[in-house]
Amino acid sequence: MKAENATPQVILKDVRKSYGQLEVLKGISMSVNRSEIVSIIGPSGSGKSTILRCINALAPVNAGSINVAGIEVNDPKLDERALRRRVGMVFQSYNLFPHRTVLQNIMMAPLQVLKQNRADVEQRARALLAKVRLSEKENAYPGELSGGQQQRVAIARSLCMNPEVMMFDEVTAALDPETVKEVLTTIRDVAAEGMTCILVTHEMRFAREISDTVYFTDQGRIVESNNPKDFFENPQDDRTKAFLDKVL
Amino acid sequence: MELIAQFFEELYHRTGWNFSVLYNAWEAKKYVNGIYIALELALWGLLGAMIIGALCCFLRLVRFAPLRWLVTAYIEFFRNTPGLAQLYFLFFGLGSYFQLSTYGQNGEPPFLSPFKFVVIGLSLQYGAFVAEILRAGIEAVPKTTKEAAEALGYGRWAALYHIVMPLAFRISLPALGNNMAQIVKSTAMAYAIAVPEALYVAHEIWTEHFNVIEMMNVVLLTYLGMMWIFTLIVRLIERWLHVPGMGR
Ligand SMILES: Nc1ncnc2c1ncn2[C@@H]1O[C@H](COP(=O)(O)OP(=O)(O)OP(=O)(O)O)[C@@H](O)[C@H]1O
Ligand SMILES: [Mg+2]
Repeated sequence: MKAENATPQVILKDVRKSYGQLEVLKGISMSVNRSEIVSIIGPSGSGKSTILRCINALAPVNAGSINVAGIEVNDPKLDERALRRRVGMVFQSYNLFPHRTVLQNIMMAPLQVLKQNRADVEQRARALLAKVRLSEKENAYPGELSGGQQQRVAIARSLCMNPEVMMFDEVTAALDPETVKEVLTTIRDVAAEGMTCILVTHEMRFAREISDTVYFTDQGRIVESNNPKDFFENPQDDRTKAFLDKVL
Repeated sequence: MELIAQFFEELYHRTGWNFSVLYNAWEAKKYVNGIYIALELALWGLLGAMIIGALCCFLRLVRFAPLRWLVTAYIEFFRNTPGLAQLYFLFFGLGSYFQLSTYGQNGEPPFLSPFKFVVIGLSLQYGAFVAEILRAGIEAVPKTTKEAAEALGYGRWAALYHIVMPLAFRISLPALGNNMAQIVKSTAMAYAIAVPEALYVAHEIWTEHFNVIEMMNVVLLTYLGMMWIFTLIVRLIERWLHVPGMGR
């Protein structure tokens, strides 16, 4: 997929980010092409979530530049709404809005943020619900769903904004093993449709199977990146080796 | 009705227990009117408190610091001083200084009636509590929920309006209900500035018949009944706003 359609869609150049004294990202550079599937793996605290949060401007960066689909994220005059409609983000803790039904959760942002036509949004939302196989739950409240179901609704909610890039931050980490599968299937479907995906994950097998490129982060730096086959079978850096020894 | 009146008249002649309001039509009418005034005070006070509370809660979110300090000062002042002292301050202090509560030179009626002073006093006193409760509710909305809203393109105020406030209100409702029920009891302070509410009327009646014990019982049971009705209404609202599975 990567070779035939190689337009960079997300570009990070020497991104630095500190929280107070603590430098969390120490010069991150990466480039993600249209329709590419990228996985970021690495030990806890290495800055994986922070990379994603910088990409959609939830966390402002201290130095370097980030460009998403032509939008300069580090620009002081950044149009946050324009950026965020292009970049969808799904969190580990689902974060659905508990006072709204499943269907309302999916429709809210397109209606309230993008001010789109209700009939169109509703049609799209229903189609997405069918895609994540939860049509029968459209009138349920988030509190009535299992973790895996909530996470699939969260994915549908992001997709309903028609993003160009989807980011998944350890979206299966809070789920029990049986439900992990259903969420991974949903992500696989999204990826198969040509969506650009950046995922942070601890599911090594899934990362290997789905990714075009795997990045390994440690202490705020990208230590190594490669295609999944070479990355997992023939890691170069000692830190990568040590990490893979521990998790595989 | 006839029967009740007859019974209590009998009771008086046989035992000397004089529940005069229950058989003397004129006194009954006066007392019912007192109850009506008490309820009216409570409802207006409640409305005022909700408006002031919501307004203060909103002003505390504004970035302009002096405004926030001013609101905080008001809240601290009215939460930590006795309601009756506040009423005296408003009525005898501000009221006479600015000639709001006094008759004009040619006997023109005062600008604000004692009834209105009580409503203002109750609104200010309970508004301070409402502001605190609502703020606690807003703080109880998980940070991750706000972040999800941001990631979907909601701005600060849009997220507040569509997501944070509706959640905060539901979280606050039990505390709000308990607090608002107290307002019914506080209407009794209107006695101090001669608003003819239930307690004041009772006082008038017992000075006439010297039936203090009987009237005190009637008064206390009246307040108990009003509190009971009030609590019931709050329960109904809670049930009406209940979201299945929320808070799990
Ligand atoms: N809001 C914040 N304030 C201060 N420090 C933060 C904040 N967010 C993250 N950090 C710190 O930044 C570092 C990187 O955090 P980050 O969440 O990006 O790690 P991660 O790789 O996603 O870890 P995990 O696998 O545990 O999710 C950590 O040391 C963390 O303590
Ligand atoms: Mg993380």
